[in-house]
Amino acid sequence: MSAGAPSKTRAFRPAKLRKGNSVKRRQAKWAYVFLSPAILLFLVTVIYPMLRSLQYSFFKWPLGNAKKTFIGFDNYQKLLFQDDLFHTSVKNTLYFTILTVIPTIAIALGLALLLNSKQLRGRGVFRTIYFIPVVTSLVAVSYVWRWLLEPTFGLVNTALGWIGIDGPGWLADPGWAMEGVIGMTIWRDVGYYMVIFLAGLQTIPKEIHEAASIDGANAWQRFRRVTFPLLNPSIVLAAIIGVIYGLQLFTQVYVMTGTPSKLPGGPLNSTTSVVLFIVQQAFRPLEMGYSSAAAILLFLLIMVVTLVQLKVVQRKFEY
Amino acid sequence: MRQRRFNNRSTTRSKTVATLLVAAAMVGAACSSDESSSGSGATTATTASSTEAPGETTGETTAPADSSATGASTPAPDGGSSGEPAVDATPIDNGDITHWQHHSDARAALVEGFIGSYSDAGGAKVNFESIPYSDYFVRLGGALEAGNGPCVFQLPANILAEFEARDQLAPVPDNVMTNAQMEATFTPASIGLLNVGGTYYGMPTDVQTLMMFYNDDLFEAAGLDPTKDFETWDEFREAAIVLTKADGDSLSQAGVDITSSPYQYYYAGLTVAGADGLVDDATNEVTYASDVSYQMWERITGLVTADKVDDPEFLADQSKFGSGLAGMTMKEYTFNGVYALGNPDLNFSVHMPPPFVDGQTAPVVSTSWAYAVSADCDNPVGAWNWISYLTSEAAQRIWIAEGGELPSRIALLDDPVLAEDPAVATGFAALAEAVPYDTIGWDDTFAIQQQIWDSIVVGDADVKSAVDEGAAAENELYESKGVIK
Repeated sequence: MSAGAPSKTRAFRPAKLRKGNSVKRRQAKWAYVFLSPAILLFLVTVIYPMLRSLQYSFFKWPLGNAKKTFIGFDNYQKLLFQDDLFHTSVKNTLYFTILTVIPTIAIALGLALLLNSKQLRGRGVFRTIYFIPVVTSLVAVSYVWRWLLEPTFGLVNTALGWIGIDGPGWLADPGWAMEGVIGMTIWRDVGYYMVIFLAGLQTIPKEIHEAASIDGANAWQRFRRVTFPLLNPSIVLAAIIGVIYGLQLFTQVYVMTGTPSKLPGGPLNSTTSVVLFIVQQAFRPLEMGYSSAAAILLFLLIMVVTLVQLKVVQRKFEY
Repeated sequence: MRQRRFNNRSTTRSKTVATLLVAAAMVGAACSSDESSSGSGATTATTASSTEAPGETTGETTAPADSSATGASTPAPDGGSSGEPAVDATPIDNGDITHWQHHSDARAALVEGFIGSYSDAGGAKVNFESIPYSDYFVRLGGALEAGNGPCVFQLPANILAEFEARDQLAPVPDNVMTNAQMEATFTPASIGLLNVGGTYYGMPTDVQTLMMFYNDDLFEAAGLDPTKDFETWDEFREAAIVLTKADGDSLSQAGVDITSSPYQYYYAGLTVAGADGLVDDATNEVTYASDVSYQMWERITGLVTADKVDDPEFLADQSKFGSGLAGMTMKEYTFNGVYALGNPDLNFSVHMPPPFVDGQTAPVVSTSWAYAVSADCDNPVGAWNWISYLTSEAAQRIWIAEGGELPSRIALLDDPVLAEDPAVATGFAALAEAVPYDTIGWDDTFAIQQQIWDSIVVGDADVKSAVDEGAAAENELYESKGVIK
């Protein structure tokens, strides 16, 4: 093919088509112009700090003018093979994630099905009630739950006492502290996922349900064979958001387990999450290298878990 | 065929939509994570406005500073006793000064008052920021690193040397105070940790001794004498047992309020158990993996595990003593003011602590903070003038009267006017004999020592192994900080 061939092809292209391409190119250019502030912001506030964090992770990097020493993979090696607290924080975080995401999605789905029913009076009121915790400050609700879970006079144990149950020590007991945090998180997040599922339910064409009913499917079969598969994108979204939030557990633990006299994450590190570990490792000794390595490991964990989730949870479906 | 193609496209589209949603979720999560970090900081500011640091106190319920209202005279920066200020407003001292400290209602109000009087006296304009303790080191560390930190800031004396090692501090200039003047002016306990390699890098503030508080009413109801200090640990322990009340399996009154804030006990115990505090000055290694330290840990944890005079689940993390539901507690001296204002019905007295170990090296332990100047401060003269003003003798009188603090100036220890209050007199007497809690760290070493407590009390660990593990972890931390000699 000669060098002049493309121009030859262009020469035979109809003028209308050439004009159309030119418009498209101009539109694309403008699209990039309009996108550039967001892209710039993303590069500056997300990508650049991530790259710097990656750089720090290979150094012993105390703040200030103290010497920064390149130590290769030492931080990673210590985190992965020696640091029991990091291992505990990973276990705690995974435990929290599993025990919040699955029940939250199940409860939210149940509520969404109930609140999607046209027979239910006052659906709007119920939807609002369930959504209120979501719009309330996480710090505020965490603080309130700390009082609710107080073992001696807290409302939760008092209520358990009414039905003859001797409540546990909750946040004061290493065996129950994480369960307290999990309970609060489920209570708060259910409304959020409920809204996602309500939106998903309303996109399912009612004709499909009607057809299934005509074919003799009962309520459970309609849910199992029609609603649940067609709700898959919403479930995937909810599961992935839930897992990402779960793996970034921080605020609840920080507020519920920290006191003026005790550092958060206790008792006995039973509620120390990976993000809390990162913050504490960075800002107790003001040493960025080690915590940056932990942050990179958390990033990899989130990425791997999310990809696995996509593979496992996402299903093909057709209307 | 057509239908199939449609289905495939639909599936592909749904996958694309799902993938986009996931991507959006990941970005959203990242953003919201950032928000929640910063947000938590911001929101913690609300919830933790009364937060105090371990080993540091707020005196949060003391009255705000108002020199005119209290009749307190404006402090002089030169260490003069009182009277009109003599602000050294040299031509260089003409820029604004940024001053950061962690928040406590009382201290913030006092500093605001000092700023007004300093400005009235011709001093530089001070831009003051009171930051919740939970965010303080995060913001300070980040700002100093970014080169936009404050000129003047507050640091625990224990980590002043770490900031100096990062070249982040300016030394106290001779025209403010020479080494000899520092040592003649301030108590050794308050400045011992401020001298790094023969140079002072800060001036002392927020000096506290760790004292015992008795609920006098509960003492009398139990047939105990609330005017006496305990001379032995066993006396203290027996009194604690007598003061404890249970309702079935649950406590209804703690003999000693220890589980909600145990650090005062082990800070004090660890310091007085060692011959040279808890860190060997010659090597900078911790010395508390020792028999005398095991005895101390055995004693303080035994109050909960064996004697059951307190329970972590009884009014978890709340002030039992402040609520009138504990016979005794150990706190910083400033709680004298905190309890008086927080619960006016609480009839209490302040005492020297019991001996934590046999043959301990000192009767009482102190903690203190320091005002320091950033090495990047562009108005160091003004910054040091301001600090001199805040730590002057006249200012200290206000800190004592209104902030519930103890003086760092030797001249004030024998002041007869201040010592008229018996609680103040007890505090002063304790301060004269105090040795500083000398760990080389702050929240990082606190976390290790708290872990020892938790392991023994909550995790049923053996005392010796928990203490040995803690000491090894603290030495490893020192090693990583490069402070081991």
